[in-house]
Amino acid sequence: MIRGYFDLTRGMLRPFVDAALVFPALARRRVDVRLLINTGADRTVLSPGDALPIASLLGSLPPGPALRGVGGTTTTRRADVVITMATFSANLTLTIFSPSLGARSMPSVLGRDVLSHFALVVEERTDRVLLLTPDEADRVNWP
Amino acid sequence: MTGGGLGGAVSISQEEMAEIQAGLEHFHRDVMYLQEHYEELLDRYPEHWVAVYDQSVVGVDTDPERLIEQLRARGVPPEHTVREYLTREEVIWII
Repeated sequence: MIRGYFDLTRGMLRPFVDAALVFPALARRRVDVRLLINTGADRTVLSPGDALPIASLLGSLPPGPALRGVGGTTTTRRADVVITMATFSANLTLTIFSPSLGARSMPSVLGRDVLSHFALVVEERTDRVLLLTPDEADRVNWP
Repeated sequence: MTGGGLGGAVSISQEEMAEIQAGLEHFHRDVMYLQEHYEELLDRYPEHWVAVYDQSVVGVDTDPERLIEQLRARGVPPEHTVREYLTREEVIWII
């Protein structure tokens, strides 16, 4: 089970989970990030602000898919990373926003490429943000 | 792997995993510090970026790139800090 939390820092309760991203192609650099749990996002994406510490290395990475959001469409970079959340680790192709983009205060997001492997529990009433593995989800007495 | 999704065997040593786990716990303590001190920091540094490391504010700037440079100059690893833009502007996210 991966336990996330509700973040209160920006005036609203939003579900986040902490993750470490290790970049094998960038000398195994590790970036620690807060990921907004976003079931509407197709992919897990590193935001411009979170990409800033490795900005000088991003030029060596291949282009990623175009990203479309409310602000329009933009280009990205792509990197194979090892994502670790709590005791869970897996390989993931990460999409990275260009740090030169203006919207640097936007969050990095945990998308359905990762979320689809878990059962997600997000309940403000009980302050629960949980990602359950299939085995754990199968043991729950769901309605 | 070129598409989306999780896949393949993870190549990570036990030593590196232990380091990652310790790093994540450290990072989460800094996240909690930011949450607990958010209002106080917002009063002090409105419309600024702040960086938290070791449960203290280690950098403040209006520009996120200068903040990264500032952290490096102080020997603080920016990739392991919690960085946040402090603002009272109400923003609704529909990401």
